[in-house]
Amino acid sequence: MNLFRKILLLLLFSSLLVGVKANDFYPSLKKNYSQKKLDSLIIVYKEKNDAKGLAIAHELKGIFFQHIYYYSSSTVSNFYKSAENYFKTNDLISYYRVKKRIADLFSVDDGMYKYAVEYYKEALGFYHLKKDKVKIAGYQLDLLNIAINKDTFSKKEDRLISWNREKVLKETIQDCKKLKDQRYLTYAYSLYGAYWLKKENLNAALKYTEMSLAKSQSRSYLMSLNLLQKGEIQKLKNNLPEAIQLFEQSELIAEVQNNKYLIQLICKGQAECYTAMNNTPRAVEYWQKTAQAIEKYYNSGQTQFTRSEETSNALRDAKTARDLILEKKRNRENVIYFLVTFFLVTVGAGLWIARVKLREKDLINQQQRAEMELKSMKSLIDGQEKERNRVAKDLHDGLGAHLSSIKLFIESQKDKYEPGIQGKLLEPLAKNIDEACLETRNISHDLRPFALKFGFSAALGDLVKKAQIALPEVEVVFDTYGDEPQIGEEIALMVYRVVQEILNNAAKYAKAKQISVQIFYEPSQISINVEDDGQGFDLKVVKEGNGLGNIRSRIDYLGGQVIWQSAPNQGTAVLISIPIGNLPESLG
Amino acid sequence: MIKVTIVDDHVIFAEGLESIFLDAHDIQITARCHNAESFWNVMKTNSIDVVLLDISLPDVSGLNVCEQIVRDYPNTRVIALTMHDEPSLVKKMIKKGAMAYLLKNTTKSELLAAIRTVYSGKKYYNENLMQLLLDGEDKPKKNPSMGGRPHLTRREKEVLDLIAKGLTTQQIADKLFVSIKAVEFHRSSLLTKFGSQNTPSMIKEAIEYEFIS
Repeated sequence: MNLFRKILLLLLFSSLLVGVKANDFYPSLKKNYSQKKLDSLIIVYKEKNDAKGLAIAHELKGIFFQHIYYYSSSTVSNFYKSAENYFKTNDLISYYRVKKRIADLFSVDDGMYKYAVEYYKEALGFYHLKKDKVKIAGYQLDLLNIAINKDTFSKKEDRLISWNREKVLKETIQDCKKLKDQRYLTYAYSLYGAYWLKKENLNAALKYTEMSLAKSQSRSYLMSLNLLQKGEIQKLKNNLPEAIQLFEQSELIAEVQNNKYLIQLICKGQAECYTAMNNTPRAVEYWQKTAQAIEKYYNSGQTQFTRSEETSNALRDAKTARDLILEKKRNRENVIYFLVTFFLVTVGAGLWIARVKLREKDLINQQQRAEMELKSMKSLIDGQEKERNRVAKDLHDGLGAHLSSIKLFIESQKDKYEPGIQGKLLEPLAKNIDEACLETRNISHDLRPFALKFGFSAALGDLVKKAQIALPEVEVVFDTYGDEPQIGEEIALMVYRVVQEILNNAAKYAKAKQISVQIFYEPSQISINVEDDGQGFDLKVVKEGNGLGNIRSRIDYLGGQVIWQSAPNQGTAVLISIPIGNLPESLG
Repeated sequence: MIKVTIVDDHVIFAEGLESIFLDAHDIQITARCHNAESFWNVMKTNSIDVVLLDISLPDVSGLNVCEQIVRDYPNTRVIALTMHDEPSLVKKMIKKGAMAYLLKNTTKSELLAAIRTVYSGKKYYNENLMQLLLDGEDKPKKNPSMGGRPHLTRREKEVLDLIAKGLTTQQIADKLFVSIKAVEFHRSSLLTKFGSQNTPSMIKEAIEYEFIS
């Protein structure tokens, strides 16, 4: 009894110790650390392979960069690393928190907001499972935020968030009231204001913005945002001095928070007010400021994600406006001329930018997707091959060696026993072991073609020979033409797998009398033709079964082409060509 | 007395192998080595008649070891004793000078026969090995530069026939219900096989070899 108590105490004590230690051990998200300190922490955690430490340190570093540069590639990449490590430690709540940090930054970026939508939706799914109503409301609002602000985008993109915005907004406001969550309620009112502003119902917009403003905490992001929104409303209502005042209040808070996204919007609002008021010096000043703010937001070594053209267009736009106003000052008599030009240039530039932007964005997204697919394909194949290699080695060197040792033992002891035992027991046993050895070797070969070390033709030759031995009733022909060029082992392995798969298919389904494998080596490409005279198949019926899809994806990955040529009772030919001067960089 | 050395990194196997020869009075196991380095040390001080050599060694490939034995110790014979049965590897090992090639699950009688045959200066190839080596060796290479009638697949013959009839690629594709790319693939294969630069000279070759009349 006493002992039991002691153990309990000890356990309690040690768990306390561990708890204290863990708290001491990891930096706190609430504290500020210097970049140097964070860097050294990251090095230490990396050495220890401590995912949790890495996750926290990278999150802190991301916050640090966000504070200095706001939306920069360093900010985002640190958050990404953090998220990845949280994911590794299975801390999903932290994972989604960091993903939200990224998404919040992406949500206002015309090029990246789609990813924000993706991340928010992912998190929303997670919290739906957890039935966390507050979080659900929050993420719903984040998605609404994008839906409302990207309202003017094309229908195709709009489908990302296919909601009846007003209905969902109203529901979410009710939810927030029920949950008594003041922060999200404030957010929701602000969004409702933004919604009406987009719909150009200025009175409703003002009403909800002010409701939100009344609840906003002083000096918060929402306060700044609401002031900006109210300023926009007053600007549209033509209460220009009041608008300017609101913009200035908003700017003060945004400056403290270093929110470069808001700052550029505020500057633009002010510039537009001054232009409308005909206050030329101020207008020039603020257009210049806007240009600088846009430049700071996009170009100060920060958002080098993909776009550059579209940002410099926005910049050019602001600069054009500034130049035009300067010109106006010089030619006051040409006011009408200026107005017309200004209008035309703005509209023209706007249209042009919109067109270029749209086209570019599509291209960039496509490219990113293709790159990501390529990467995941490569890691998938790499992982598969590594694992196969390991298993093959274990089989061949481990199990194989043991089996042959057993065989040897029987061989060495056999003669000591009388012929009856030899014939009835030892010989069948030895025969069985022989078969096990053969099986082991065959499995191992399938997993890891050893002969690839001696070249592609050598390995394929072995493969064909094995097929011939396994299919004595079929004639398997193997021909090569031209000189074998230098082929990287990784590529050779991939092509080998493809031919293996085709041969397997032919052996299994074709019922052929002859299968021929031909390789044509040319300086710039390898062409392979695997042809059988079997029963063939209807290409329309067997479209892209698993095996065929596998072959196609591997060939696609190598940048090659594959053609299936088959019809019932016409045999099958698989024609492959793979360029060897133009392989993916990672492989070449 | 035939002096034999075993080179194999698998200790249990090497020990088991040694025990097989206990009652073979004409054979004496001089040493067991588990890597190439220790084997070369043995070779410096002993005159060895036969080496039972594994190909997968921890330090150097058995292929290289075999080559070096044949070069530096012409009186020592090599028997490859391995788990590998890849035809290309077998050929390589024979080319490097191995006098016999046995798989590790061989029988005692075969092992003894191989050692004795090799010791007498003759090669020992068992039936399996012969099949593995001969298969494919009997067919001459159909390389165009070497001349000889090329081997055409059924689909290549179809395309050749239609080319000879003067059809365009598009017409051939339509007729065979295949894509233009497939026809081009076969046309290019045909050119390579006949060693021709262009279609007319290919057709001339094809007529010569009586593929078309």
